[in-house]
Amino acid sequence: MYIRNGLKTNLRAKGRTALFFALIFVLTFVMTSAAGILSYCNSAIKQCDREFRSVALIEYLGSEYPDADAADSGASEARDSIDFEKIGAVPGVRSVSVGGRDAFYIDGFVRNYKNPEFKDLGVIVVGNFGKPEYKDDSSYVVKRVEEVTEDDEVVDVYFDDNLGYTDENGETVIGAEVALVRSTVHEYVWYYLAIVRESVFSSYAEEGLQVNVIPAESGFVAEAGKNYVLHGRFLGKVGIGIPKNGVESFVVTSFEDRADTPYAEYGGEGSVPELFYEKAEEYEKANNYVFCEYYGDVCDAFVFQQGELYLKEGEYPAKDDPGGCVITADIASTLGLGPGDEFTASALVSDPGNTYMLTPDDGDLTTFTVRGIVKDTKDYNGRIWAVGDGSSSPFYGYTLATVSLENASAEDAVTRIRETLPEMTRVSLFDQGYEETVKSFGSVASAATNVLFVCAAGTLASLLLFAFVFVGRQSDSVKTAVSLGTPRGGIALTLLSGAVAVSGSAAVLGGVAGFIALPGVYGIVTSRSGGASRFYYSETSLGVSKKVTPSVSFSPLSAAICVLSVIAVSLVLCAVFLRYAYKKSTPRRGVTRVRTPEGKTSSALRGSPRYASLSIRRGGRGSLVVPILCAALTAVVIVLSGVFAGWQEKLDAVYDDSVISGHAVSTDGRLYSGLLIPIENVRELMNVEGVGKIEVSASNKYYVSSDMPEFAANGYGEERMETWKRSGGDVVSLNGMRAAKDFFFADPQIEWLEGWDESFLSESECVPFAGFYEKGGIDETYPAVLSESFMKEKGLSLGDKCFVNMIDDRYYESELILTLRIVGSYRQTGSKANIYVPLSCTVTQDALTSEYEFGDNIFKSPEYKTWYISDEEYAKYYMYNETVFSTCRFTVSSADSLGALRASLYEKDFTRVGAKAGLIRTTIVLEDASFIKLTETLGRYISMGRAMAVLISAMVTLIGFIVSWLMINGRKREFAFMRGFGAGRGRVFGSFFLEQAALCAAGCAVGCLAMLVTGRAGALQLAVVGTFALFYLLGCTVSILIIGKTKLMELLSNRE
Amino acid sequence: MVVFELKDVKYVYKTKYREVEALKGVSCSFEEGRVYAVMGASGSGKTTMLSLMAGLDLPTSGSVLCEGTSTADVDLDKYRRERVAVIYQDFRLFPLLTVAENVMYPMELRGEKPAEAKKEAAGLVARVGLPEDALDRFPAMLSGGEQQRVAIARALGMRTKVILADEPTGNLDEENTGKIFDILSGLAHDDGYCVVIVTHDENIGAMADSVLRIRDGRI
Repeated sequence: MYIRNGLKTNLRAKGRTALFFALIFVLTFVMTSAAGILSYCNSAIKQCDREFRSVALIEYLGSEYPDADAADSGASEARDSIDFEKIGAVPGVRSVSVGGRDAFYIDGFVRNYKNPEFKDLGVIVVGNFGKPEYKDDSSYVVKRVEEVTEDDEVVDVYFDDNLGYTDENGETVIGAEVALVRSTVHEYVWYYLAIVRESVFSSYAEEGLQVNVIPAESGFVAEAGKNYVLHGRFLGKVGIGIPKNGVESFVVTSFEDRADTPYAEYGGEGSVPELFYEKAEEYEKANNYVFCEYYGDVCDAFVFQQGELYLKEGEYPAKDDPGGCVITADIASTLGLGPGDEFTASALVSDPGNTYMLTPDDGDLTTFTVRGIVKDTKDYNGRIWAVGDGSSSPFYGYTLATVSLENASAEDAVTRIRETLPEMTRVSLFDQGYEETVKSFGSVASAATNVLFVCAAGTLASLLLFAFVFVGRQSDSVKTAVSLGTPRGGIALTLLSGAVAVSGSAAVLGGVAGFIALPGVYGIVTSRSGGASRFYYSETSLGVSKKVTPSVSFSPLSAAICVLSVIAVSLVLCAVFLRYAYKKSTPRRGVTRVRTPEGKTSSALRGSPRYASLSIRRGGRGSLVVPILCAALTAVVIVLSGVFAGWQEKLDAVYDDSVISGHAVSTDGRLYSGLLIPIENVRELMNVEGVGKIEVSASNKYYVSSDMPEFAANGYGEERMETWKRSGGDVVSLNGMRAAKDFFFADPQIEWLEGWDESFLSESECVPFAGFYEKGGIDETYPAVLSESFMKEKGLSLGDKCFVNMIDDRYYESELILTLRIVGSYRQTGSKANIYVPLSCTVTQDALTSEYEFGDNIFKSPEYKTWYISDEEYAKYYMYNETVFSTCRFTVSSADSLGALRASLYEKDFTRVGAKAGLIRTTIVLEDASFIKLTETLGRYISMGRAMAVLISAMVTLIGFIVSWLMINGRKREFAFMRGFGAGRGRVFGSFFLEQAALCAAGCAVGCLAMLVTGRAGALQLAVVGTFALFYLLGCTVSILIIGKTKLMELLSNRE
Repeated sequence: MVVFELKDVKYVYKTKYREVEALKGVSCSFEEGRVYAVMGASGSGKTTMLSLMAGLDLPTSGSVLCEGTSTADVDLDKYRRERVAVIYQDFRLFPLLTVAENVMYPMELRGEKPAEAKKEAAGLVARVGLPEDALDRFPAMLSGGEQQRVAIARALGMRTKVILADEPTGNLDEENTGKIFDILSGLAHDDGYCVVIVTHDENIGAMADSVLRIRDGRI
C-alpha cells in the first residue's frame, strides 16, 4: 500500500515528475557518457603504458660525438661526475644503466666482420723470396757534358735543342749535348715477391699465397733461400704504387708495444719465436672480440627500444636474471648456441686510447645464459646485451647512461635529470611516440573529467531540489498520515519509494541510453577534438614512433557506477528531507521566535520605489540573501575568469618571449654535425614559412705543412701521409659560431681582436675558396678565429697571420694554402683545433639565397664539338650546386608560427629519405620541448577553463534565474494583497522588480568591488557579471508576469 | 439608499479536475448605513459573492452594480482602489510595513503624498481604538484583534461607502470579535457605511441588521 500510494502520488503529479525525470535522465545520460569516455581513455592510456617503453639517453656532446668508439676523456670524466644514484631516485625513473661496454673473447667464436684495427694484421712465415724490386727516388740535375766530373754519376747523355749558352768566344750557342746526373741517391728495396709458407695469424694469407713483401721502414732485408717470420699488415691487392699484379701486399711493421724487430729468420717447423706466437694469439683473440653492454633491463637498450634490432628467437632476459643475455646471430651460429644455453667468455682489456687495441685479461671467466638471439645484421655482430653491471672501463663513445623511465612521468623525470647533469651533456627522451599517442586520450579524458565534474555538481543540485520537492515539501501529507496513525516506516516508505522510483527509473534509463550511445558520443568528441595533435620535427618526438591502436572496449561498469550513484544520492537526500518534512509537520514546542522587522514609519519616496525600498530595508536576512548570493556567484565567476585570463596572459607571454630554434639532424636524432646538407635544401629551408635566421657551417680538413712528419717515400708512406693530412682539424666556414660543432650546445668563449666580433662570420664578403681551385692558390687573406691552444703551440697572437693547407675532398681532392689573419681566439673544448672563417669563404650570400642561372655562360666548344664550362663558371657551379653543409641550425621567427613551420616542413618533405638529405638521412628537429610542455599545460588549463567558465557561467546564470524566480514566487500573497487593494500591474511589477534589481545590483557591485580590489577587472568578467544580472532580472520578470496572469481570486483564496 | 446590487449573478470557475458553479443566480441588494451578514455553509458561495463585489473578478453572467454602475463597465483596479474596502479573516497586512504604512498604502495608491497620508493614518488608527505608539509597530508585534483593527483602519483610509469583510472575526476570540463587530457596526450606523460581513458566526448574524443566507450558490 505504501509503495503503491507513493508511486501513484508521483505519477499523478505529472508536471513535476516529468520535469525531474527528464532532468535526471539527461544528467545521468551525460554523466554516463563522460564517465564511459573517461574510463575508456584511462584504459587506453594504461594499455599504452604497457605497450610503450620510454628511455632517456644521457650523452656527452664532446667534439667526438657521436663516435661510439671515441676515447674522449671529457666523456669519461663527465660519466664519473654524474650522480647516478641521484638520478635513480628521481620520480619516474625505473632504473639507470651506466653506459660503456666490456670486451670479451669467446673461445671458438670467429667474427664475420673484422674491425680495421686487426683485420689487416698478420704474422706469417714467408719464403721463396725473389730478387728485390728497387725504387729510385733519387734527384737529378742536367749538366753540359763538358761540366761532368769524375764523381758525377751520369745516368743519360742527350742533345738538348732548347739549351743555349755563351761559349769561350762569347758567342751564343743554341743546343748542346747534356748529361743527366744523379745529384742525390735514394734507391731502396721496394718489395720482394715471395710465397707464404705458413699463416700463423692472418685473415688473408694461406699457405702458397704469393705476396709482395714491403720492408718499408722496418729494415727487413731478405736473403735468398731463407724463410722468415714476419709481423706486418696486409695492404690489399691493388694500388699504393705497386704494380697491379693482383698479388697481396704485406708491409712489415713493428709491434705496437714491443721494440723487438718485426721479423725473424724461420728455421723450420716449430721455430716461430714465442713473441710472434703471443702476438698472433693476441690478435686472434682481439680480432674476434665480443662487446657486451649491461642493462638493468635489456629491453631498454637503445637498439631494441628503437626497433633497430629485434629478437628472432627466444625472449628478453628478465630483470632479475643476472647473466641472462641477448646475443647476435653470429655468436649463436658460430658457437651453436640457442635460448637456455650457457657460454663463458674471457675478458679483454682495451687500450685507454683505442677501444680495439685489446689484450687478453687473465681474470675469471664470465658466464652468460642465452635468453634471446637477434637477427643477423652487418651493423650488429659479435654483441651481447646482458642483465647486470659491467666494468665499462675504459670508457668509449658518448652514451653515458641509459635511463629506463615510467612512460607517464618520463618528461618530468627527464627535466629533473637534466638539472643534475654536468656541462656538455644532454639527456634525450625516446618514448616511442608515447606522449603523442597518449596526448589525444589525455585531452579527451580531461574534457570528460570536466564534464563529469560539472554534471555531478548539476546532478547533486538537481537531486537536492528533487528531494526537497518530492519529500521535503510533503509536510502536509506527512501531517495527514501522522494524524491517521500511519507508522513512521510506512510514511518513509511511501515518500521514498515514490521519489526514488522517479529518480531511479530516470537514472537507469539515462545510464542505459548513455552506455548505448557511448561509442557514438566518443566518435563525435574525438572527431571534434581533431584526434591526436602531431608534433612533427619536435625534439619531443625523437626516435621511432610506435603505432598502437588500443583494443580496449567501453566498460558498462562506469555506467553502472553513475546510475547507482544517482540512485544512492537521491535516496540519501530524500531521507534527509524526510526528516525535514517530519519536522515541519510536527507542532513546535516552547517559545517560537518570530522575526519582526525594524524601523519607523517612513514617508520617503513614492510609488513603486517606496515599497521596494521599504521591503529592502526591512527584509532583514531575506534582503541579504540575494546580494550575498549575487556577490558570491559573481565573485566566483570573476575569480575563475581572472584565473583563466591569467593563464591566457601567461600563455601569450610564453609565445612572445620564447625563442625556439631548430637544427638539421640525422633521422635517428643523433648526428647534428658531419651531415651532408645540400645547399639547395638550405635555400629551400630559408623559404619555409616561420624560419628566421639560418646558421650553417661547411668544413674542410686542414693541416700545417710544417707539422708533417716524415713518411716513407713509397705507396704505404703516401697512404699514411694522406691519412695524416685528414686527421687534424677543420677549416669551418660559418655564419654564426653556434653553427660550429664545438659550440652547438655550449656558448663559445672568444677573445676578439679589437674591432672584431662574431658578426664578421656572416657579414664579411670574402672571395670563395672555389674560385681558386683551378688557380692552385689563394692570394687572399681570410679573417679567422683559431683555438687558443693552437695559437700557443705555434706562438701566434691575435692579429698575426698564419698559413694552413686546406683539403677539399669533394672538389677533386683539391688542396689550397690559406693565409689567415687571426681576429679571435676561442677556448678549445674538443680534441681538434678547428679554424672558423666567414661563411662567404665557402659560399656567398647570393649563392645561399638564390640559384645560379648559367644560361649563356655554358657554351658549346666548336673545336671539340661538346659542352664546355669555363673554370670560372665551374667554380660558380660548384659553389651554387655542390656546396654541402655539415651543420644547419635556425631560429623560428616567432613562436606563433611554429605550427605553420611544422606544416611547411612536412609539406616540403623534409623527412623524406633522400629528398632533402643528401648522403645521410637528415631531418629537422625543433628545440621546442620546454615550449611545448609549457604551452600545452597552459593550453590545457585554458581549454578546461573555457569549458568550465561556460558551464559555471551557465550554472550561475541558471541559479540566478531560479533564485529570482523563487524569491518572487514566494511572495505571491504580497502580490495579491497589492492587486487586491487596486494597485495596478505596473506598480506591482515596479515594486518587485525594483527591489530585486537593487538587491542584485548591490550583490554584483560587491562582486565587482572584489574584482577591482583583486585587480581582475576585465571585459570578460564584466560580461559574465552582466549576463548573470540580466538573467537574474529576467527570472524576476518572468516570475512576476506569470504570477500576474494568475486570477486574483485564486491568489487571494490560496487555491492552487 | 441601495449601494450594491447583484442581479442574477452566476459564477463558474474551473479547477484541474472539474468545473464549479459557485453562484447560481444570486440577486440581492445592499443599502448604506446597514450591516449585512452573509451566512452559509462552507462552499456555499458566500466568499465568491464577496470577491465579485470586491471586484476581484467579473461574474460569469448577471451583473454586480455598485452605486448603479456595473463592475463589468469599470476598470477593476480603479474600482478596488476607490469603491470598495475589504477586510479579510487573515488581516492581509504587509508584514514589512508598519501599522501606519499599511494604513497609508491605499491612500498612496490614490495619489496622496506620504506625509499627508501619515497624518490621516494616525487619525484612523486612533479611530479604531489603537494607541498612538502602535503606528510605528509592525503587524507581527500586534495581536490578532489589533491587526484586524489596523485592517479596518486601512479600509477606512480607502474612503469608500462599502466595507466588505470576509470572516473578519474568524481568527479572533470572543472579546475581540465583539470589539471588531462594534467598530464595523459603528461605521455603518454612525458613518453610513454599507458593511457586508461574510461569516459563520451566528452571533454576528444575530447582531447584523440583515442576514442573507446562501445555500448551494443561491440566496
